[in-house]
Amino acid sequence: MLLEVRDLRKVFKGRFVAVDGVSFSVPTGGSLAVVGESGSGKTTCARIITGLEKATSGTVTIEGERRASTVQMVFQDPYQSLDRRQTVTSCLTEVLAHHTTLDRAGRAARSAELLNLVGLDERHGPALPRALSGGQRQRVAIARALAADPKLLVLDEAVAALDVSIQAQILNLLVDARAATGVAYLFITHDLSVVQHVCEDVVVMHRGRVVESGTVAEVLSAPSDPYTRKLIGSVPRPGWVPTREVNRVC
Amino acid sequence: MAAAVVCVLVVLLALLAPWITPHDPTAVDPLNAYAPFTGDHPLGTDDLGRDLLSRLMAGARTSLAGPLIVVLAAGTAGTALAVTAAWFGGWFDAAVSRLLDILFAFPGLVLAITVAAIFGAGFTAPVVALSLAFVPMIARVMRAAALRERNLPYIEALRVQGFSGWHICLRHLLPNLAPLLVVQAAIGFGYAMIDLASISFLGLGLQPPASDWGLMIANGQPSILAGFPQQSIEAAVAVVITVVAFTVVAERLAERFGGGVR
Repeated sequence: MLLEVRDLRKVFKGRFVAVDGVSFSVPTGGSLAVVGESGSGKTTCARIITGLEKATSGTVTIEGERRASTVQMVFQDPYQSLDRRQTVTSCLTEVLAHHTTLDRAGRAARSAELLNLVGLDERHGPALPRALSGGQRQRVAIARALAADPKLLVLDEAVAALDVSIQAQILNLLVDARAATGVAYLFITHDLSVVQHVCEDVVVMHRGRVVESGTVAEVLSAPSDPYTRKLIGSVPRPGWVPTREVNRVC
Repeated sequence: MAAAVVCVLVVLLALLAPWITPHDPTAVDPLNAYAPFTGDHPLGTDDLGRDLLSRLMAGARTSLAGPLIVVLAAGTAGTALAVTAAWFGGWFDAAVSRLLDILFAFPGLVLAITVAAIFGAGFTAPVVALSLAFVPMIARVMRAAALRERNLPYIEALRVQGFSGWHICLRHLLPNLAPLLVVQAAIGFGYAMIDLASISFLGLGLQPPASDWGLMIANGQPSILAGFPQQSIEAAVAVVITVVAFTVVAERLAERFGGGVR
């Protein structure tokens, strides 16, 4: 297993239990979705795994040597997760200079390669974030994360801030990028409808606990937990009629 | 735009003064005392017959150098303090903030006058004291901005990338705060100029025969009673024009950068 999370617990201010004994694992090159509504503790898990928060108890084990570049993250807000003063190229070469031994020419070549990988081209290189759309910025954020050559990419609601059509493009991009690089994904989302496209496995979180886990196909077709059934019931689809039952989920 | 031109012009005059003054600013010529405005003395002469235009130009050097040193020193110290406090947060930030609040309550001019009275009149003592007094003014604004900036997601993104605090502060945080710092420095420049002119006027700054503007206002006082107010008025106008020009430029910069932070 690339990532092993065991009995993770996070208590804020000594009172609020955000994560309560959560365990899951991601195989090398695998793809795990962590699904749950706001406040279910999924983002806190992601922040602990990337080192932005300290767990109250429990362990996070990452296979092999723990380097800063092993785990990278793509943030929810593409408008604020890039330095507004930094061009796309400079953003990528900065990471390359930090994590690789490439020389200046090598870094330029690699950053062009990364731009191509995420569906941008050299024209976007000198652009500042404000000249880019939300989708383009999220592509840059993905390229930046991949620049460190991570084994695990944590995607924290990475498509939630985007329009539905752009979401689809980014999801396709993520599928292609995983095929091309072999990176594993931990895909944090509140939206079950985007899961099946990108992920093989899924855990469903509710109030800081894992209520269900399994392959995406299993969980989506035969959910065992009532909460999962409600989540699945709340995904819009053709012929979908909102009912009172569904509204009570939120 | 006009204000920016005035700023550049004043700075150029100050820089080039030793080479372009029409007369020696300290050359005494009692026969020509209180000379009227003529081609030879476009702004007249003072009680000792020294050419006022030349003295104003020479005086621009110390009158601008003082505030410049004050904003450079206070800007550097204030920004360093503000960024460190915002970065580490917690008790350190709380301690720095309380200290700044206390210092802020103490008027800078009073501090500078006290220091000059203790350590003797001159250029250095008031400038050093005023630099200290300006630190809280700049640090308070910069801390608030640094705190906002530090909480933006891109800083967290950089931490996940594995960059050190030094790298993030020097390469990302500071450059993003730079526009605000420029605005603060330009505003502070105007205040510092008035404060230093006041100190010179009180006789605690530069001493005669230097031609500092504040000193010229003070030295011109006896002549006002004699019916020749030109020295005091001209020096005062020079101070006012320069301060207004720098402040207007600062305001324009503030408008353009929206206070430095989105």
